[in-house]
Amino acid sequence: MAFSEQRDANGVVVMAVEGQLVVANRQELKQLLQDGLDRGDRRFVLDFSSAAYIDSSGLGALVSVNRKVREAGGDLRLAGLNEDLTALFELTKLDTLFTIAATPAEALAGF
Amino acid sequence: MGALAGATLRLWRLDGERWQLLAGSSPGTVPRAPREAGQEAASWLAVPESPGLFLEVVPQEGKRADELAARLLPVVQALLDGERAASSLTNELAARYEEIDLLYTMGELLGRSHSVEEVASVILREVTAVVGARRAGLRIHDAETDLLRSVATIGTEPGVIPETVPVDRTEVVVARAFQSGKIETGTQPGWVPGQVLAVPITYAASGQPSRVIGTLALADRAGGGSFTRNETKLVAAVATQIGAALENARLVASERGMQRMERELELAHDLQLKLMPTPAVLQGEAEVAVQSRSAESLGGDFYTFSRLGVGRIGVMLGDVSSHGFSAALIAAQVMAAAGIHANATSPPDETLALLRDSLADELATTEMYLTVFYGVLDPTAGRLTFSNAGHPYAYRVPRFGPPECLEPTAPPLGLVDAGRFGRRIVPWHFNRDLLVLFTDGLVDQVNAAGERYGMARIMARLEAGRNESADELVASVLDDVRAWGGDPDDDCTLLVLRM
Repeated sequence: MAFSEQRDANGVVVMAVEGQLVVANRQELKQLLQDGLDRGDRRFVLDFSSAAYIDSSGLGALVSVNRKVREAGGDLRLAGLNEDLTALFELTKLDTLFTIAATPAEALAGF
Repeated sequence: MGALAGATLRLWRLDGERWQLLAGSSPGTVPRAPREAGQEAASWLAVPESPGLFLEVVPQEGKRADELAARLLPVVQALLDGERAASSLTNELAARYEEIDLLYTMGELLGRSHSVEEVASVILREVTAVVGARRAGLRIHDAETDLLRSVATIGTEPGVIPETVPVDRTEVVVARAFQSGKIETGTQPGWVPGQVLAVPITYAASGQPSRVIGTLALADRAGGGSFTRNETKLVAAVATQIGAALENARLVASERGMQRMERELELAHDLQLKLMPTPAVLQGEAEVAVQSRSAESLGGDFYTFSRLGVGRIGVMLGDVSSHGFSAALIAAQVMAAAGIHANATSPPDETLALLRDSLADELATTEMYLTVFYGVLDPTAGRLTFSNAGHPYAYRVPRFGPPECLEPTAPPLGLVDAGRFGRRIVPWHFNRDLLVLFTDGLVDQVNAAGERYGMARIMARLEAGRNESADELVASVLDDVRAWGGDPDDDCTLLVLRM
């Protein structure tokens, strides 16, 4: 299982990405978020603390789900990106499209 | 930059009525400031080409704000332009990533087996999200009716857009795209608002030219106006993948349908075999062997036995013209009717007449006919009484001498509506004579050279094996036929009875 899902006291859904976000599991992440939206959830934190790698398809999936969440009036935040992943987001300037927090706790505190 | 210039700089945004400090140290209070470009005080400058952005310059004592501002403004503007360009590139990059996501999704659809409807709805959801369309529809061409049939829609109320569109209705944008095989745009008032972008979905089977199998239509662009060149290009690029995904799903569904049909046919085949009685029915009365093979899962050959009391037995064998499902149904009806009509009191010709009456409607509507032999063996009287409706393969094989053909006494059932069947009585040497009935599949079996197995070979086999048990004789004839031409091309049944 590449993703584990929890809900904090305020109802924010925290999904932890384990290992990597790549072609093989991107669809699963998209489906999990879609299921959340369908259930009525609007606030999400994607926790990358245990993730080391995101490929181009994973970035595509993130951009796509971010848009879906925003269109539904929700808020998706990324947290726990390691140094490499942070650099990836900065280099691609995608850091400007996402709300990125250092840790999941920080992301949750911001809601 | 302010420090370099020896001044305090602040960048402000006027967001409606509210001032928002974007850069620089807060003055503590919101200053009095101009509301529109052109109303600037000396220390306030509207940033050109950035509506709502103002630069506030507070110079060191002794310096003039307007001079300083005039020098700083081009620098600030250049910085902002750079930021805007970076942001635009980011958005562009994000759009490319979304396209990558769409292409991966298409690829995944290709690799899995979903129903056509599932594939269509995933495609619509993904394409509309990336392109930014509020309404969309996917149609597949139905070759039989020449209609474009809707398989998935997004954003449209049921009943507003017709389920089917004839391909020659060229006032409809999707019909035009289907006909021309090219991207078409237009409006469809009453169906959807705004511009409609219709793309033909194509599919090319290996080694075959590409053909249009359906259409994808997008409408009501999220940003308003017409779909951009890039959006159109993207949809055109995925159209072939959509075609492959849909065709894949259709083939999988069709293959599943075939498998289901085959399973059902196997069940029907088993059921048909169970309808035929086993030779054990006549145990103690007669020695019977019978084997029946169908060219298809279901055959049109049939046979049945009945005990008629006082040691008498009835034997019926026939062949419905054609084979397959419809022939098997008729055969099943004959068996059911024979079970009712073959009784102790009716002679064979009356039994066949009753059979004809009960099947008349069925045979007339299906334009089929059947040949059938029905004989009653009476050991007490030492005779066989039979009626034969057009069945050419019925023989008495005596222990010595040539086989005797039990020739038809009437035409096949279903070819004439009325008339007598006629019956013949043949003296029977019980325990010595064999009743041999078979169907034309045996005679007509051809070898690799196209040569028929033929009557002469069958007769020679029967004569050579007439002293064998019924089982052995049936097996030896059928082995010989199979050695001649392999599995039967037609339904093929052989029945041997010694009483």
